[in-house]
Amino acid sequence: MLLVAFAVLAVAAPSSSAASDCAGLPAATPCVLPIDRYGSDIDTTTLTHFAVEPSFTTTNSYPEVRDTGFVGVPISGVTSRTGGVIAAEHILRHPDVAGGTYYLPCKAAPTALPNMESPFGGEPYKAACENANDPSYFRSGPFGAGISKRAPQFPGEIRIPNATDTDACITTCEHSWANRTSAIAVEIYLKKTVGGRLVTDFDCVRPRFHASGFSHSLNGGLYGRGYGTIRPLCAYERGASRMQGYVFVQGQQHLEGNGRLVFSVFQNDATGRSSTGQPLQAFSSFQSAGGYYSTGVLYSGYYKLKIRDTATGKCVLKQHTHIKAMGERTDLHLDRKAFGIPGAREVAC
Amino acid sequence: MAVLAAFVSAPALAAGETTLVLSPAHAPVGGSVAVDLRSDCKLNYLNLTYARYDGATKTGTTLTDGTFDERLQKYRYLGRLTVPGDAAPGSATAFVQPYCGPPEEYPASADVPFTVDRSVLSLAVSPSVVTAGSGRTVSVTGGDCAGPVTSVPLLVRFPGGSSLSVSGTVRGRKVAASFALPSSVGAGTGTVSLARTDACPGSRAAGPASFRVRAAAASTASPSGTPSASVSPSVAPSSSESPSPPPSETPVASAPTRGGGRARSALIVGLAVLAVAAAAGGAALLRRRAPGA
Repeated sequence: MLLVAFAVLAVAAPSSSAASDCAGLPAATPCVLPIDRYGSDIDTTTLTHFAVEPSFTTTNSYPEVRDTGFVGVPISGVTSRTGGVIAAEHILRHPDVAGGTYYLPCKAAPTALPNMESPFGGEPYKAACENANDPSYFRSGPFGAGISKRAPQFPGEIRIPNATDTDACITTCEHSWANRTSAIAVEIYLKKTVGGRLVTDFDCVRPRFHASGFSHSLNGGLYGRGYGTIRPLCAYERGASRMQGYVFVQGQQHLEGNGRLVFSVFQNDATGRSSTGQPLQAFSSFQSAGGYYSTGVLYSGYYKLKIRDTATGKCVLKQHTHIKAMGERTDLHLDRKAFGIPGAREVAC
Repeated sequence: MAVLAAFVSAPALAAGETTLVLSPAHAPVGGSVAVDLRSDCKLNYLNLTYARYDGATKTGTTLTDGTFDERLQKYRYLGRLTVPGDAAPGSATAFVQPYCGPPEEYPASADVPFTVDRSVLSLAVSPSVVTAGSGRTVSVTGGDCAGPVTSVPLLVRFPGGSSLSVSGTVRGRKVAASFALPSSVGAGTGTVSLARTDACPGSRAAGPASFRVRAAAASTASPSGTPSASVSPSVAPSSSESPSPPPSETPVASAPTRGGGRARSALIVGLAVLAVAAAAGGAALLRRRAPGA
């Protein structure tokens, strides 16, 4: 097993292909498992934020702050070799509601009956989201390989409307999200087929951005900045980086199957750029693979690194991790304080 | 010691906390205030929510780019926030949205109260000194006229009490107008001011701008400088004030020079003295020829 693990580090990791090629292999096989944050192929229990209790703060708690048909983010498409998925979620915020904290309707627990307010709390319009019950994006859609490809769900723009027709809504969900939305978060995953299964391509950056400031009026809606075309960087391209390392317990490499550690890596700066010069960030959510982990390809920059040990329930955070090149290595020692990561600290999960 | 050092150097803000300080917490339209923004995220949307003149609420957004402060362990943005041109005077709020994700781990800052002040509208006149009767065009410029207006009524008061209404154009909150000095206006001080105090709804007037009309010099008067009989209908000279003296007096055609006048007077005086002396000498001669007297 040790030899296999070393083989992963010595051969597969530099070529950056082990991350996803191993999908579907037996659990004992060392393999870095990617997590689409709200994709259909993941176990949502691995996520840090999972709404299980209905909240009494719902969409209807938020006042309408504008009068428009929709809010949108212009985006021409994504350029890639393999195609992938583009996903969007919207954020509500108002200073007079819930202390000004963010509320994400599509991550909230739904009401018992869709499209109906409930005295027991819950998001009445969860049915308008991609998944009517579990945490999800508002919408996500596939785009093909090639230059500036679009998802059918986002033809030329990412749009948040005021009303949505879905089967789960039964009748139209009149949520007025366009008039209530404060920001839209967009994430892009490249996908590739390995062993007949579609998996996230860790050989390329997963870009994300955060759109706000919907001030440009057009076609009955309000638009934010245009992002043009997005081409995710791939391994060893200029500006690409990656962090990886071994996982040790009591000085021995931990090889007891996959998925003990759940990683969340989000960029603090924004070193990627769209074709229109808009800033892009990288992110990565994945699990450890026995005695090994890899973030996959990222933009070179500073990241918030969060690791959760599912075996012990311990969480470690490093707020400002510099990942500047493809060969960054940080080994984890699960029996040490903050997993032995310099500058990291243990936090509540 | 190491523990103490670690305590002293601990970050002032909790991880994930985003703070915003505006100094001062008020500024007029077009004015700016200092921003001190601290976040775990390098890029942040700095939002200012304010009321427009039509009553609608608008949020102006700026994407700021901070630098990492090792001591604070935070990205810090020190810059300025400019109050948008369509903001109406009154209360507003500012807040920060980190550009980073996932959104639930990078909360927005608390709202910071802010006040949009009225800007100060000050007018200036150029040239500030004009010559009476010259018909000179006088320019009026001013700023800062805030509000959804494209023109403002101005009132020009001339020396002597006559007045003139002028319409000024407003572009980019700058006021521009001009008027020609009526030929009937005499020397003195005139003023230019807003005809209505609410002409610029987002501004308060600093006071009228003044200009001086000086009397024309007599020696430089030309035939065209004589008072005109035609006066602009809107210009009404005051009857209570005496008209200014004519620019030139009609000269006496035969008037000698001042030196010739003095010689003639001396000659007359001399002749009179001689006449008196001759009369006195004749009387003395007659008294000597009469011995029996």
